[in-house]
Amino acid sequence: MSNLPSDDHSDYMSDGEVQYEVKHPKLNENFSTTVIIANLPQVLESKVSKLTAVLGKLAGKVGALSTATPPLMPMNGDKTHGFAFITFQSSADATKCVEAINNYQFDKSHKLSVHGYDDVCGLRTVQDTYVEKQAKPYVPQADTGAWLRDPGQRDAFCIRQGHETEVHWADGLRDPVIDYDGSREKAAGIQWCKDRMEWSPKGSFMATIIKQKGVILWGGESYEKLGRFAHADVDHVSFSPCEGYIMTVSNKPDALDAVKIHDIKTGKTIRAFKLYPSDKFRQEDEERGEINPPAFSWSYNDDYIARMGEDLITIYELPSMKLLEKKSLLADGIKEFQWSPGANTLAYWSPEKGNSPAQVNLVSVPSRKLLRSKNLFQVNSVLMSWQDAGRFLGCKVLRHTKSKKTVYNNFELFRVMEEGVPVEMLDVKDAVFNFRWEPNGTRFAMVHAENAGATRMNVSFYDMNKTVMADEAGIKKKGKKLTEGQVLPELNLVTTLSDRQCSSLFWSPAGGVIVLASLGDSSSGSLEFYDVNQTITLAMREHYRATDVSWDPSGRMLSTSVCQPLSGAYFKFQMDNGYMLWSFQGKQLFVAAYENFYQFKWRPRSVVLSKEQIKDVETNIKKYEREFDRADKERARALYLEETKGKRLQRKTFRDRVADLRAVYKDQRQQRTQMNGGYDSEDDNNFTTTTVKMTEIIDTKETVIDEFP
Amino acid sequence: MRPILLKGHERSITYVNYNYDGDLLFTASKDNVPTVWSATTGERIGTYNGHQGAVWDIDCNKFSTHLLTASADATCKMWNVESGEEVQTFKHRGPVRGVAWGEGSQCFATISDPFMDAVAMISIYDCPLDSNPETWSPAPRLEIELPKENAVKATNVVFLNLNEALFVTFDDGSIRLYDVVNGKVLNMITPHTKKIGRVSFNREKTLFITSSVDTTAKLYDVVKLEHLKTYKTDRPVNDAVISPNKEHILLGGGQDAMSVTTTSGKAGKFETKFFHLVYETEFGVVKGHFGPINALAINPDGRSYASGAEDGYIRLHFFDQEYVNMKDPVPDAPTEEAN
Repeated sequence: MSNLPSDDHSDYMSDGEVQYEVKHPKLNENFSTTVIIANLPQVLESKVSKLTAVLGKLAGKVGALSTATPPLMPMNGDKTHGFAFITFQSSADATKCVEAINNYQFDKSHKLSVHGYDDVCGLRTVQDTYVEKQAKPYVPQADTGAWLRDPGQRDAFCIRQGHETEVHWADGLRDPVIDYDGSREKAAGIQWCKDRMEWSPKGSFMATIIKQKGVILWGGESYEKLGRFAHADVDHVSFSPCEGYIMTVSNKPDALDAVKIHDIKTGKTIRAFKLYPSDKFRQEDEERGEINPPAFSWSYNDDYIARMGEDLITIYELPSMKLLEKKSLLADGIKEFQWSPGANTLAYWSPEKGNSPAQVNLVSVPSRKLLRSKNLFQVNSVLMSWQDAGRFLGCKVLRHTKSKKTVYNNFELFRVMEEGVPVEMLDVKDAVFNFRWEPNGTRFAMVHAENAGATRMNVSFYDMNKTVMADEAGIKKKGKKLTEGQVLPELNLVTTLSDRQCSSLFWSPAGGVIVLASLGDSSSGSLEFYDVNQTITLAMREHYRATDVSWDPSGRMLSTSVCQPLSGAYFKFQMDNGYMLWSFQGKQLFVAAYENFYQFKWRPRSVVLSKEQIKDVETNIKKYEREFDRADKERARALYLEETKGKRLQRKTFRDRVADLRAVYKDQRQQRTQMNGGYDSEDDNNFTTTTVKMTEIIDTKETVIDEFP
Repeated sequence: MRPILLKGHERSITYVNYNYDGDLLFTASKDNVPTVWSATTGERIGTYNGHQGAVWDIDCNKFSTHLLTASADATCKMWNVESGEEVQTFKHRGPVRGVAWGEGSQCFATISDPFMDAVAMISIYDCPLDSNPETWSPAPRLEIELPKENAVKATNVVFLNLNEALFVTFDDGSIRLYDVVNGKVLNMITPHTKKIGRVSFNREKTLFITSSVDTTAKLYDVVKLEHLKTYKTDRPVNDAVISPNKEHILLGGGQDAMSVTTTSGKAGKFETKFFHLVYETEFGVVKGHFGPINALAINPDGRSYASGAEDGYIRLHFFDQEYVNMKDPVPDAPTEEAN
């Protein structure tokens, strides 16, 4: 080699160190396929083979045993220890074995105790002496209910304008005041909300979305940071109804964790899912060119979360996030499902398929009992809507005639709380654009017009219950006499308002009052405040180009706003951006305009009073009224005194100045009197007061009285 | 509040003022004929005929016996208030802009505009009312020439501090105090950047308010000449007066008379505005005129006010009960704060 020019081989020589790593197969240190069976009879060596055979037969029923590692039974002197190692071919079978033959009565006096080998090995780390765990020092959590105890009985709302995110208080009496505007974060050079914000269903938390990073939760009296849920490219966020969990969604079809479920209290992600439950939905969306996967939805009490799949609904139990009873709920041909807001009941509908009719089904969870099934024919689509307490389910069914040439609507109204779930039908010949249940009520309203292209709408109100009037009392119905004031479960039309400019309906959360609004680009933003109890219009108002309308949780105020989308299109709105507050009677309370305005969200509030407490308030309403009135007045006066402090000071300074000047003037009195030839104009005796009576003839009229004969 | 419309003048109103007792209302107009009205009924009592030019200013003495008028016909005339007879004429070399009685009604001062070769002038005349007017000197006791190069014109003249100083406002926004004996400038301030149209005093002559084309009116202390308050509007201010019995300011104005015809009455801002004296906030307006308000006067009893405008009308308003009963919007301090 030495005679070779060193240059020639330099190319073939590696400069790096030679690595002598021998690639042995890795030792499998995993004993997941092995189980220990203890509490066996202790037998002499002669009987070992027989016992092993019996054991092998028993375990072999669960799964195939490993041929490489036969059952082993260690000896203790001349007898066995009383336990054995059994190795399966798969770890799944080993796990099954533990479940299957643990506590198996082997013979009269021996009950088997079966454990995974790994589990038993884990016991080695347990120390013999018990060391008491030190409790972590108590760190008080932020009081997320502090805002509910506001002494001013105010409601809060959040707005996103410009680069600001501000939480305001409003009570309908005074102009809104800022509660928190992210000043602490601003001082630290952070913007506390960059994209959208969302309140939790009971208003305890405020979630701000930071698109690149995830979601931050804020709450407590000073809006502290209460949690962070990392999720890159997050698009949506959804709280569970009892605020136990939060779901973050990013619209990335390929990501394995596009949907994440987190536990709010621990801050941990408890499960992640792909965006689409199956490729079928993805293909459908891709054909339509939109991302609209079947969404997860929460049951009313945080017990379950469910998502629609192909011909099934997958229901997961919370907080374990395990599939309920390890199997999905079969729902053939399902198109859409909804949880009842008042019970663990699912409603779903499926379209017609071959000879089988379209169906609306109500299923109870976890019993999976079919509460009600309704067959429908000639169905184009079904729009389901629950009344907010889950008392009624309304289904707007768009149907076609046999020839499929004309379509018409019909409503299927389920009385969910009643025995057997009776269903009422309501045929509507008109095109129906919108329908809404009254919160806490039995009524619903719908917008309809003769044809789909109409510009003037009719709004009809229906009541699921009928109150017997005086003139109907005494009439026999179904063998029973009716009495006045009796409430019958009978659908009836309350009233119809015709020729209205209306596209959307907004019931007051307190019920009774509804706002008919025409929203959208081409409409005027007209608002009609309508009292359904008295069937009178309270006010007709307008908020030009309004895009959003919402009630405060108490039903005292209504907000209307012109919001621009967070991404672009701002030129469209520039002039009108901002919001207005109205009283429920339609009185304008407040107007605010901003160059950029994105969001207006009332802080939701749950009812914390029990039924008895509410009743107590209702009976003593006069007393409370007086108390609140007095408190209102005191507060207004205190506020006014505070506000006018500066002005009072100004006034005092000014009056002092005038008094000084007057003193100078008074000093000159004598000189002045002299100059005026001895006349003292400040001496009151030089003035005489006279009373003058004046008569003014306003009108004269001449009438001829009967002449003398 | 339904005003009495005083129709008597044929051209735009230049000045309105009450006499000391508040029973007479004197008005001057560009139609050469100063007029006196009953301040309670709005009845036209009489006119003072003799001027041949627009009358810019009038001043009635404290006892309502003699009236002085300043006119563009380059004269200042003294009239017998009751009979309407002309007592004496004082000739000037230029249009007379303003006239003011001295305390005690034994002398008066005038201001005149420059005309041809004559410069702007401040003149003080003696007029012992108990002697025969024939014996009065037709020449002023003191003449103060205003330098021609500055080309400033005097706009108002008032005697102050028991005739010790003469207070004159100018169209460059300044105010000067002159010594009445030697004519020297005692003091000078410049409250405004543009012409001071009118100045008016409270009854005790301890506060004054200037009205300026720069859309503000400013309140000053007479003794120290200190600025106290500013009342901002959106229009040239022609006149402002201080209420005698309330902490209020009445303010009138409107667009420049030249551009009035190009705007509607609504847009011209021809209302009388009410401001709070201390807080400088506007709290009310009275509409009615269809030309800019040139002159305002409030009755010394504080129960009525008169406004005269470019439209040639004088509107005599009597305050309604609501206004009379009006309380200060700022409540008195609670007792603990007062301590």
